[in-house]
Amino acid sequence: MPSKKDTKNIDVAKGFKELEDISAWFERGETDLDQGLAKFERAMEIAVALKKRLAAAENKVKEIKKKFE
Amino acid sequence: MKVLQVSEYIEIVNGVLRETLGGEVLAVEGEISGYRINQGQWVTFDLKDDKALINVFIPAWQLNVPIEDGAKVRVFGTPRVYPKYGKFSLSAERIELAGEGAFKKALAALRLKLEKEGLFDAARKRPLPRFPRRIALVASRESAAYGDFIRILNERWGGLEIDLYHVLVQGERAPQEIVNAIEQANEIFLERSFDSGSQTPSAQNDGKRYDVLVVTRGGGSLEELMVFNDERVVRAIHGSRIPTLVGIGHERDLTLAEEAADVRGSTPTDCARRLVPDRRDVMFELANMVQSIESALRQELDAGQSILDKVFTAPAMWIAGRQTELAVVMSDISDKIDAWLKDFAGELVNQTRLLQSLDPKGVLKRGYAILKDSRGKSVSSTARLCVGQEVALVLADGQADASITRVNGQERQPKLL
Repeated sequence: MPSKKDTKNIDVAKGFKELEDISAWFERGETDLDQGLAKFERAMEIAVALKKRLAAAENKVKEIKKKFE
Repeated sequence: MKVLQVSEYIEIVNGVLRETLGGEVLAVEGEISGYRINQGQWVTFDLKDDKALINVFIPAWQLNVPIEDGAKVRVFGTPRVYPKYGKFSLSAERIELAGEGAFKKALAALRLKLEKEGLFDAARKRPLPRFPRRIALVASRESAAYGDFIRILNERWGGLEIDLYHVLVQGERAPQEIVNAIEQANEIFLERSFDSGSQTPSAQNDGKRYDVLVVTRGGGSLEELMVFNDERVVRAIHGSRIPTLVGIGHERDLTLAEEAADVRGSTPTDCARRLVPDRRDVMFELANMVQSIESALRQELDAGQSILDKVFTAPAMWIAGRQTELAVVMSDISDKIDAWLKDFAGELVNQTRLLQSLDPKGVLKRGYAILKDSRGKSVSSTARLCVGQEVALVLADGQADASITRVNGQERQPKLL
């Protein structure tokens, strides 16, 4: 499982792919509670990283637009 | 009696003929038969009427009208005996066609001949430039045709340079004058400076010729218009390196010169119309063009603007799309983990219930009791009991001691075998 550091410059496409995989894991009805908790925590980490990444991209777009207007 | 040599005798006869006629040229009218050309240079035929016949001789270059057997002609010339063959003949200076029928017949013959040569081929006709600048005009300065042509030109268009090549447009000398004018115009090269508008004739081959050569005259009799059916004139027009525009007589008159031209104008006025466009039409066309260009440009700009707009909004829209997607995925994961945990809890409750149902204390609560012997072992069969035996009864909330008084309804234990 990737470490927390990996989420800093997260690849958006890979992030979404991992979230989908976690979602599928829960859907399968696995019974390992510890693994389930770890996966949920990982999902939250990725979600926060993606949110930050998208917000930063949004700001960058605004910044670039301003520069050329 | 003086004896003469043959040549002397013929010379005397010819002298008598010359003196008698006093150098006067006589015109003799008759019908042609036995027409032939020798060595491409000498034309001979018999001229005859109902009662008589005379041989006619004329050099081919002097023959300016198309003739053939059966044509009625007027021959202008002098009689003489040709010494070499002793043949009496009429030596012609000039031949004219006699009568309208003959004109038409001769004209048809010439048209057929020139047509076969390809002088009227539509395929070789050149278009006139749409906006000509330099015009060579072959016409008579005194004619109404000239005035009409110039007037209509000025009404429709301006700024043309017109060089008039003044010629006779009827009579015997007219064809040669017209031919000379056409050739002269073709030999002139104009080098034109657009700034000064000055012209300088140049012999250089890459210089520019006139844009159009116009030949025109007004209406007239068939005989007058015959100038423009003259083979020399027709050939000169056909051979012109400058594109030609020819309009002779009225609408109904169609001369060979017009047929050989690149463009035919039916009248002098029509020539002017065909030569230049009407400035009002051109202004209208220009306005339309400007409008159409402007509208096309506007469309291009709009399309570009639309692409730019997309470029500006696309990144933000993509990000918004990802944000929505993230929210959906997270909500999904959250729902799934809730359901997953609920499954765990449900399983726990089921297991608890099952265990609870198996707990013996639960059974005692419902009024059951456990029977234990003196050693504390639970007793599950009457076989292990005997009358008078001490036992303990375990209930839900405590224990009581008891003594067996009967086993299976009997006060005495049956003896074991």
